[in-house]
Amino acid sequence: MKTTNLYNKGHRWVTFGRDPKKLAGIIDTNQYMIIDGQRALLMDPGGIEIFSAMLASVLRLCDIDTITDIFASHQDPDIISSLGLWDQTLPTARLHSPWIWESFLRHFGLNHIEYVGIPDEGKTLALESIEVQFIPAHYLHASGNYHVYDPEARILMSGDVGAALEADGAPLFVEDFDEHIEKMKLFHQRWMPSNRAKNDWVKRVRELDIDMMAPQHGRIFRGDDVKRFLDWFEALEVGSAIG
Amino acid sequence: MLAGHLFRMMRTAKLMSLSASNAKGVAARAGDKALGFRPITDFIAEMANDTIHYATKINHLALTVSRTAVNDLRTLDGARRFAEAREQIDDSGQAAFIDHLIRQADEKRTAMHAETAEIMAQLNAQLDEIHQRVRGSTIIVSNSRTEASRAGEFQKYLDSIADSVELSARDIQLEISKCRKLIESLDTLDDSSRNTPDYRLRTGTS
Ligand SMILES: [Fe+2]
Ligand SMILES: [Fe+2]
Repeated sequence: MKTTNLYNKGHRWVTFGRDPKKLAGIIDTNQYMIIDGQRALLMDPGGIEIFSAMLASVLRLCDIDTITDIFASHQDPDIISSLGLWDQTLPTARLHSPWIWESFLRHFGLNHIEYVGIPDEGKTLALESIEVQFIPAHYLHASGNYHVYDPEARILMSGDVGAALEADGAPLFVEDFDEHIEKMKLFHQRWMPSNRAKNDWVKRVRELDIDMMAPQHGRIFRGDDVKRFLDWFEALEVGSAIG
Repeated sequence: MLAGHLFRMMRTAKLMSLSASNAKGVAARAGDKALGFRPITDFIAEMANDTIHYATKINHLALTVSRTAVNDLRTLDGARRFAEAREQIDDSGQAAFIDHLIRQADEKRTAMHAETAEIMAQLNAQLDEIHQRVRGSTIIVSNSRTEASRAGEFQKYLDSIADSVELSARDIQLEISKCRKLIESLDTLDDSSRNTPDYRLRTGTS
């Protein structure tokens, strides 16, 4: 599992992924972590099959007690089916996730970690020196869904929005936006069900100051590519990949 | 699977209880001719009720066993995945933390195995209870036949009731032995997973 620094000024953003030992047939995912002094937030920690590699990777960066909070943007297996294992590893941590998924996520085995449901309108979470925002992204694609925005680092962790389906080991950053479109198109048309929700999200996100948009699959958008993505996504007809 | 055998056992016991109340009706109509038959029908009804009672208990116990088995597998899977993470860690402090997780999982499994063994013993005891009661029915059936022979025109009814009790008892005994075989096979499965935790061999943790 490769660990890459995205930001390191006071607090740190790290992404994990592109694991060369990943089992075939499993969608590649990007996991993220913010380390802010003695507090760390693990975001979309991934599926059960990548748990071992993830645990080893985070332990190379910080002590286990540092990870006080976990965030799951929605209930999908590639996002959080490892929950039962984190529950044994981080018994005193809190899980921030859409309130509507609590009784569903408990099926993964939640005996110790505290479930903190995020209300529909979103909320903020204070770490040691910074505060992150859980921005609503409902119906993109799950009916209860959030992204994480860090106003200080100007990074938006955008879950499945901005995801691309491509070959294993693809570069971590978008280099040529136009070329990247083909890898994103089908995913957004098929997995995103609502134009209204999409346009609402685009409007909300345009207000944010973003240097980096970091999706859970595919590549990270930097600088002007963020705006290019928002324009492209706004114009795209979604929920339309069948028939 | 166990649930299937228990279900058939209970269904047979219900049939038995029905035979008992039929027999009671016939005995009442037979009046003095079937006086000796009444305690027999009471005994059959009791045996049927007891069978249903114990089978229900067994069902509950079996459910606990299967829940624990799932939990055990989950914990074993966790221990294996912790060991996999440990292989990728060089720092001795962090490795010690993972060893602690593995030990914790191990202890949890040991406790679960002890709990399962205890429940299995209870389960066998309940099966024994049913077995004892149903075995008693052989004597009852032969008594019934003797009593039936004194019941004049009611003899053929009472005989057919004795036949059906005999058949039911045989069915229940059959299900009991199937249950025992199943429980035995579960026990051996459990032993094999208990003795060779391969994650330990790979990592050398204790
Ligand atoms: Fe998803
Ligand atoms: Fe996803």
